Amino acid sequence: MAMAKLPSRWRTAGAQALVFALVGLSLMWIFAVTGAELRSRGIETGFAFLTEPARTALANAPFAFTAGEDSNALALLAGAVNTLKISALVIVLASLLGLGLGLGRLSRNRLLRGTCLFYIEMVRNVPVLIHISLCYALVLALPAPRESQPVLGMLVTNRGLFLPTPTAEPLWLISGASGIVTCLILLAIRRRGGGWMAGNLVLTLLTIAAMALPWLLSGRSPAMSVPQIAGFRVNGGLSLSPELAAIVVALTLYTATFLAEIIRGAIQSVPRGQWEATMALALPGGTVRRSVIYPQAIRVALPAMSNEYIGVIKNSSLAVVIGYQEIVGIGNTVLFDTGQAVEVMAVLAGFFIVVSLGFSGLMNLINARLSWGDR
Amino acid sequence: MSRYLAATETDARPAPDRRRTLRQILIEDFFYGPGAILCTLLLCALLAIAAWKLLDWALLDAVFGPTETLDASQACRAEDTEGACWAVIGDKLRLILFGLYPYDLQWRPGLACVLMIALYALSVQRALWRPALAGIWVVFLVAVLILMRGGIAGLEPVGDDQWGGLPVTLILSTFGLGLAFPVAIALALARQQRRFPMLQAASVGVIEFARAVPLVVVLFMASVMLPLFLPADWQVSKLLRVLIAFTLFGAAYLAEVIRGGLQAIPPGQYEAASALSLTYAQSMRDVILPQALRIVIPGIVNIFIGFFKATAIVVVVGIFDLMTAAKRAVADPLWQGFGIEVYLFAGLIYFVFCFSLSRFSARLERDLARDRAS
Repeated sequence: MAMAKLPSRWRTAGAQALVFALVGLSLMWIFAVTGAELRSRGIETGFAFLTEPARTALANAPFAFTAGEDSNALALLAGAVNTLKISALVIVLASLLGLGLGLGRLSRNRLLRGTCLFYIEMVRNVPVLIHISLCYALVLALPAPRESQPVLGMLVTNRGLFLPTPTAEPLWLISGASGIVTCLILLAIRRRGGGWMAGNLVLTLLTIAAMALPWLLSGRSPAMSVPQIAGFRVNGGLSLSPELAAIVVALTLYTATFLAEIIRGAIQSVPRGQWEATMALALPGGTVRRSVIYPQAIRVALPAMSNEYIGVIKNSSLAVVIGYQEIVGIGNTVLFDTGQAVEVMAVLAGFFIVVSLGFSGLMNLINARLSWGDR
Repeated sequence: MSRYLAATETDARPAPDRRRTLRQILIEDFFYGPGAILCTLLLCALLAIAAWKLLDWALLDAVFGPTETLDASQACRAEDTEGACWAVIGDKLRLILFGLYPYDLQWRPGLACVLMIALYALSVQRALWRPALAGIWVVFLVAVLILMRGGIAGLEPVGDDQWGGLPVTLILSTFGLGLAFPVAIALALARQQRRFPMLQAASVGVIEFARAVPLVVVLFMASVMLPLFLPADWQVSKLLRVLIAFTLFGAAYLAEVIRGGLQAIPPGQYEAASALSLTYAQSMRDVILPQALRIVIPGIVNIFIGFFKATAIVVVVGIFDLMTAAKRAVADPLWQGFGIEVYLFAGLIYFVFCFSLSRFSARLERDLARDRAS
């Protein structure tokens, strides 16, 4: 009863001090135990290992990396670049596939609707790890480079995916510039309104024509580096290793199903009155969707979609299962080479926290730009 | 006045017939325009080709077991077989389902799986949503532990390093969720309240940390760092360490769902509770939580589905769950190269669980929305 007579402010402060002391004591105990444990194993604590040379070579380094010369920090940086590479590819590809699936789920065509629903239910109820292992097994079951036939200049083999790429050629710069300028001029005309305006199809065709013009004038065919089979190897073009191809394809197929459901829900959340209002104004279908429905749907979808995108960044760490060296895989290697468990885990956790928070900050910014404010 | 009333009574008409003829359905749903006709025909062709190829691979050309001259794995590797090799499933079924559990005792993990599935079947009955459900969970989970561990009632003891396959997947997700639930409620309440800012900050820190870091990293922390944090003579088995990591990780996600439910309770309920001079504990236990938890049950089921799928990730720290068992089956030199069949089979098991749970969650959401509307 003596407790009850104290002013509640003091009781609150007392309780807080108690919690704080308990947490502090258990942390101190953990530090003491850990320190003793590490000393008994002969491990120096601290981040000095980051500047020491890495002992193990990297399989998929995005830049030149020599084991024994370059530091552990550089190895982890290579892993971070690979993580972001996977994430960026998956976010772009999954958004496109997810948009297609989401719109397909809303189609009037029952066959299309059913096919999309079937795909979504089949894929999203299976762990992403099964998809990754399955994709990897599928890639390894593809024909060897010698036995594969190029499709549109692409090679799909058990040594990875090979895509044709433009070569470094000054004419590409002129071609790109002419395309961009043409596109911008046409858009400006369209924005001014009145008189002649280019539709989407005409705009695309004219832009492509403007890009082709420099090549036609110079009388050469566009300079591309097409993958060529040379014995057991493939030369030229852009190559994706089997591991990278498997993880990107699997994460794309999996993430797209969640994005599709978000997009479908967002479009369905636009009140029916909005559709009816556009009908009352006799707006054509394309205009309705572009300027009335989608702008409202995107504002609903964006927060959920940015959660999915952060999920992609976190899921990219599952590449460790098929041996693709992203930051968690390399962190593991560094951990086994140096024994600095606590520090390596701190680096990994710190990386993901910074990337997650940074990404959600970016999405909040976009969200704020898009939102109409409180009404 | 009578001028405004109808003089004669109108006969009741039957409801308009909404049924459509097959022809109408075809025209209205499949062939309503040039684009739709093209799309339908194209999809039909694509689906037919895909279905034929799949049938060819999975059934017509498949190898289901040994032939007269060849044993099963030779039959799968024969030159003229192009199809699936389901013989690998037949040969490795017990390994995939029960891992390295002693072969003669595998009825015990089998029964444990049945018990846990029965527990799910009970938990989805709305009539059973009362505090006694927590008791049912405790009884079932203790029974599962006794079956798996043995050591009493004449059951031979089996160490948890020998557990494997489906029961481990079920144990990780069920025990993980069961243990995470009280932790999640505590975290959600700590985050929701305003009286102890320090406690609130700690709760926010734990939740946001667990949600920002991938499960793989949390599992590595549990298997590499946890032994360093504990005195050397404390033996914590690998499975238990992973279960602890799972519990904390799941609790963070669950806490956010529960917090959503707490926020959805109208302030009048909180005020009514304090007007009755209920203490904080009483008002939470008797007024707020029963309502809040009921609202978020679909969300909890969705978290559980995610949890169930996420257990596959324990493969990276070497816990013998369903996913690891599948990988181990493919690692046998006899069956190397038949990963597609094994992963499809394991995927099918995951699918059966996740799909039925997601159907349940969707139906529940509809029912709850209807109840609220009426």
